[in-house]
Amino acid sequence: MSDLSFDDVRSLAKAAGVELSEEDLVEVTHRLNVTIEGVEQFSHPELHTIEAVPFHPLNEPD
Amino acid sequence: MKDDFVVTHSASEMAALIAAKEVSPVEIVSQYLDRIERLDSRLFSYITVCEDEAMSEARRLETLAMRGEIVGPLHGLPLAVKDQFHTEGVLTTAASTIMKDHVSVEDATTIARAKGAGAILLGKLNMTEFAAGMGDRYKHRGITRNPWDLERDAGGSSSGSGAAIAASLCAISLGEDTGGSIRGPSSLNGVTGIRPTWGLVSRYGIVPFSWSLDTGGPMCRTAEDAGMVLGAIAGFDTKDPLTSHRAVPNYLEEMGDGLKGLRIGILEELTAADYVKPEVHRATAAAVSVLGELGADVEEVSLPLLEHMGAVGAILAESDGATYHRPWLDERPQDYGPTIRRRLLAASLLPGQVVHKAARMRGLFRREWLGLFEKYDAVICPTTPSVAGKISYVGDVETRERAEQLFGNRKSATFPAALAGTPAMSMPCGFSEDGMPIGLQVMAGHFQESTIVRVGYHYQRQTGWHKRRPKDEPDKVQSRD
Repeated sequence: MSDLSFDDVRSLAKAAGVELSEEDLVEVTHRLNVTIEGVEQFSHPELHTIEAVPFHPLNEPD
Repeated sequence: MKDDFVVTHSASEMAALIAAKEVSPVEIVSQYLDRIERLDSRLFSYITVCEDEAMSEARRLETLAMRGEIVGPLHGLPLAVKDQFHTEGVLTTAASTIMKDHVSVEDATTIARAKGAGAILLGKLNMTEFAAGMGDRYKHRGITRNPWDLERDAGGSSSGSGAAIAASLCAISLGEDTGGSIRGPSSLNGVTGIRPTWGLVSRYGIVPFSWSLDTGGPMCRTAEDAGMVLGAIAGFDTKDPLTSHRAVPNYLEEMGDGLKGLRIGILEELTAADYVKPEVHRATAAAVSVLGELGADVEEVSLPLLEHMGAVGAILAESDGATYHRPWLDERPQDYGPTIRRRLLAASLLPGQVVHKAARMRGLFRREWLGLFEKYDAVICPTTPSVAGKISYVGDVETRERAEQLFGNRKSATFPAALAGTPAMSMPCGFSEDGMPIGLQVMAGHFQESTIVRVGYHYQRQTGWHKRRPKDEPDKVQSRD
């Protein structure tokens, strides 16, 4: 995926209802691109079947 | 009581002497208050000191102790907590501008339990704003300084907890850990901190960042102290329905005679990596030798998914945090530091597919991580790849390259246990040539806190790194923030 442009991020913020000032736009755009890049190349044969449980279900005694 | 009593005694030793009527909680609180007065004008570890309340409670507990009535394992011990824990009638700011005047109406469950076990609330400790990472200037007083070198960082987000324990400004402390906020400052300040199993300790009354990662935990001098505090604050809480119903063990009764037969894995990806500094390599290797001498079977183990967990953890924690902060971000954006505001704004705009992919990566990792504990009782690695660095701030990030330097290719030794919800402890395992502490992280399977306390207790009996204390008057003079 190519990097999001400043205009892309402005549009994204507008669509999400997020107030984004011009002062913050540059850093937010760079952060967003770097963060997405951090996981985008990862692949694994079970990535689309493993359950995305956010925490370990507690194995409670009876 | 000697003038340096609180410097030379662990909390467990103090508790035993209080119970034996050999020292007075009033004297102990007085000595801490005197040290705070003398030293914290340079360390900035406290936001609020509860002087009058602490002295009043110390007198009450002294009277009880003299009658032989010990209310719990923390009887008479001065406790200071990260300013993220609500404390009845006391300012709780989360080190923010937004909550700068907030006075809590109720104690967090952990605070109520610690008080019920006899702890005396001495004050509230500094931290990074809303426990949301590093990079901004501190909103209250100034950035917390590292007691080993005042020009260096105390880590985050539980910076005040790490510095106050290291500088002997409280007997016991509580921090909060989302992805390393107990263990990082523990490592950088040379103290012992435990991130418990997620669900062992109530989150009720802790200002949240990430609902699925946050947990409170002890930060203390020793593994024994940390086990003692953990035992007092853990357990099911009706106010946090995701806490466990399991009975809480007495961790101090499960430390055993040694480590004979314990199987310990060294996490290769987090230990042998080229970004780990040579002095940290050496200290870790020496710790491995000690664990072997104590009877543990230690061998290397590899888990390649570990390398991705820094990126996964950041996405999941920050997207949770962005949701929690959304109303304030909309209404009061200028009341945040610029680095945290931009971090949360960026997380607000992460595509759902990216967040979901990170959550599935977490699922894959957790499965492999829990599999490790079928073969090993514990796994270890350096807590941080280097010692505390010079104090610095992020400032404006104006280029893609700068963003990559700061936020790209994230490696983290502390996010893995957080993402799996398993317990982890950092304890001192040596010092750099320039006198800065180095931390070793010990991790185990769900609810296996007894194992990590046991490893810490026997390691510390053998080595004594945890007994080193920074000088009260450091040679280096710091610049004012």
